[in-house]
Amino acid sequence: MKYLLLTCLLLLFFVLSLFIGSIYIPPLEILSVLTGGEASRGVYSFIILSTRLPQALTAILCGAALSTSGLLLQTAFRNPLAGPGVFGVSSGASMGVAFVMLAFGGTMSLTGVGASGMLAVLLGAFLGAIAVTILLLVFSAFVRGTTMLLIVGIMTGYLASSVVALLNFWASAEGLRTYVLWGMGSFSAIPARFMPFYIYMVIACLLLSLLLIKPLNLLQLGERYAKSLGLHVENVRRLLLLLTGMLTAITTAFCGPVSFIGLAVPHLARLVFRTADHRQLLPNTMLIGAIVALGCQLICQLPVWSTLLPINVVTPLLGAPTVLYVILKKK
Amino acid sequence: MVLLQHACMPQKGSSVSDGGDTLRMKYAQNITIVRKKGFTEVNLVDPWNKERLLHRYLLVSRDSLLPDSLPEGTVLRTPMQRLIAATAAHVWLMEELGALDQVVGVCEGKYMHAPGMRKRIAAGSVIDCGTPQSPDLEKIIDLEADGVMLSPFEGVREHGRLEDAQVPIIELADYMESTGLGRAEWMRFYGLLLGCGHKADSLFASIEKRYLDIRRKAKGLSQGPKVLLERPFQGTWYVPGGCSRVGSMLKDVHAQYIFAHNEQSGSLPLSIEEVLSQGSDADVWMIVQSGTERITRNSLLMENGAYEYIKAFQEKRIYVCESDSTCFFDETPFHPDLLLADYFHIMHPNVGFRPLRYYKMLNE
Repeated sequence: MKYLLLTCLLLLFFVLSLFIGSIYIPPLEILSVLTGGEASRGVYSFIILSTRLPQALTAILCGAALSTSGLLLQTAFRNPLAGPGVFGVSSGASMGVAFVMLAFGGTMSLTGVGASGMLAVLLGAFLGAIAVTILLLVFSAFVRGTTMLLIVGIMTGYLASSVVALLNFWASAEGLRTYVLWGMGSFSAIPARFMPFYIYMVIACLLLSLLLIKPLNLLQLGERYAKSLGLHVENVRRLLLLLTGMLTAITTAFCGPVSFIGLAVPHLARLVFRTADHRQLLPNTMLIGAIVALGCQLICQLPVWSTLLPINVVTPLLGAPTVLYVILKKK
Repeated sequence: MVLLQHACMPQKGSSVSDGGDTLRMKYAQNITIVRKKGFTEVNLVDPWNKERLLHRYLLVSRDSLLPDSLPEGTVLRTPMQRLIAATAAHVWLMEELGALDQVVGVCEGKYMHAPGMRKRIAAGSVIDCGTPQSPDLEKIIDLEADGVMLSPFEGVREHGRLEDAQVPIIELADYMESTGLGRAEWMRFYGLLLGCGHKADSLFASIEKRYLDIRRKAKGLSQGPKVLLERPFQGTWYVPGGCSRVGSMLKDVHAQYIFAHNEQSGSLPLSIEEVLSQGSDADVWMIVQSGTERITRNSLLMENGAYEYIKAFQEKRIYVCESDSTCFFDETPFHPDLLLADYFHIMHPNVGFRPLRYYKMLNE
């Protein structure tokens, strides 16, 4: 029953996101375009199919990816406040982007291969995030215990932030503003030619994460118990870090550092479905993550703002109350 | 005048000389314009990496057919008729060239002081499209814009999406030129885009003449005063580098900029102590002020008591420019001659007299 309602909600949001935007397009025209017909103006067709549709898809996948990432981290580290942001992976991505935008003047030259504009930003974010992930993987070999690893992640995040602060200080006013705006997140920044890559990568990672359901259920029972049941905890943790690193790297590279979804949605999923069994929890988290992200995107594209609001303006409005509720409930 | 004759371009694209006729840019270093058969090739050099090309534009007149083989680059049909403008300086220039009708949308129109543009925004005939860093794609596409004029930094995220929508981005890299005339010379490119290359060329020629006249006059004079610029913001004193436009213009009026030895062309974020240690014997202090705050000697003292040790403060040679009411940021980018004139009369007050256009001497 709950599944049905949620799926309907997702579909509703999806449809609404195609009908609502800064420009008013008559609903009949929209229906005509969606059913393969023509619109009275070519631009309507373009806006619906090449702007609103990709935006919605990006939001759905990003929401699913980030909330999965959050759930994996929260289970593996048995910490309800763990999320993709806490580990410093998105700070690493932000640092990569800051280098590209502020230090290299918007271009990147790696051994003679030039990349510019959007591609440079994507590469910067991706490499920054992967660098932090690899760092964490390396540390996980030396560090005993999950709390220590969490601390390593948080400290790495602070280091990355200090580099970003320095780059910001030296930046020009325009560069700074562009960087700050990037940091506010957007589901509408992916150029058409990158969409297939984004879609395939996210879906591949999400499918991989489904393979971790059984190990996650075991981990929940406690590390010692899981080990005694034959689970190779270190390997699972490494795979987990790698997977969440990838998911965060991709979403941060393409959408900017979207806040709160990774942290809040797993809690929402537990609230709604009242189960700790990852066989239900993981897919549900993905579903609810998609709904939440799409809902936030919908709010951002309401015509009343007369522009597209950045995502991070809306996500804390949802995230903060959820986190508060969880904390208060635990008391 | 030789330049004017060479650069004179027929108003409508009638027969142009064949292959590789380069429009000689005397001062601008980051742009080259070559008139070829059937199109004009404009190459913008990456100001941060001179080996790289920032962008190549191929200007083809709307009256002529698209040539069969074109080099790689962004094709722009000229004159452009449905532009989105994001910068006050370029809008001011377009009003001067009489091309405002060719602008259909703006980003951050509230910072644009050009009277014609303000009228159009108030009347709703020009649509607001968000911020330059994050322009509203749907609005731009709905307006069927044929080009968006942005600084190279801006809208980086949207570049890809605008390309998908086949709306070309015209990168305004003129602000990276390190001389006043270099930046102003870019108006010849913008004139070509707007279909008034002839007018832009004459405008530039008259600006160049006035600028060079002032420079010649200043050269014959004795060394001018020592100059201190701007004031601290949030604890950091941002001053133009020695090789910035302002630095080069102060050199041209034969003044001594206290950071003339510096080799950077951007803005230097210095500590207050550093600036005071080097600039306390400055004879002239010039401040450009945005916003509505009224600056007086007292208000400066309250900001930082150390100012009273600056020679210019003691001798009351402080000049303040209110950027909003004087349209400073709108007009000076493409009118370095007018700014140089102000500098000249501030540095050499005993030579001739002309009321200052942008700066006012602080009397209180």
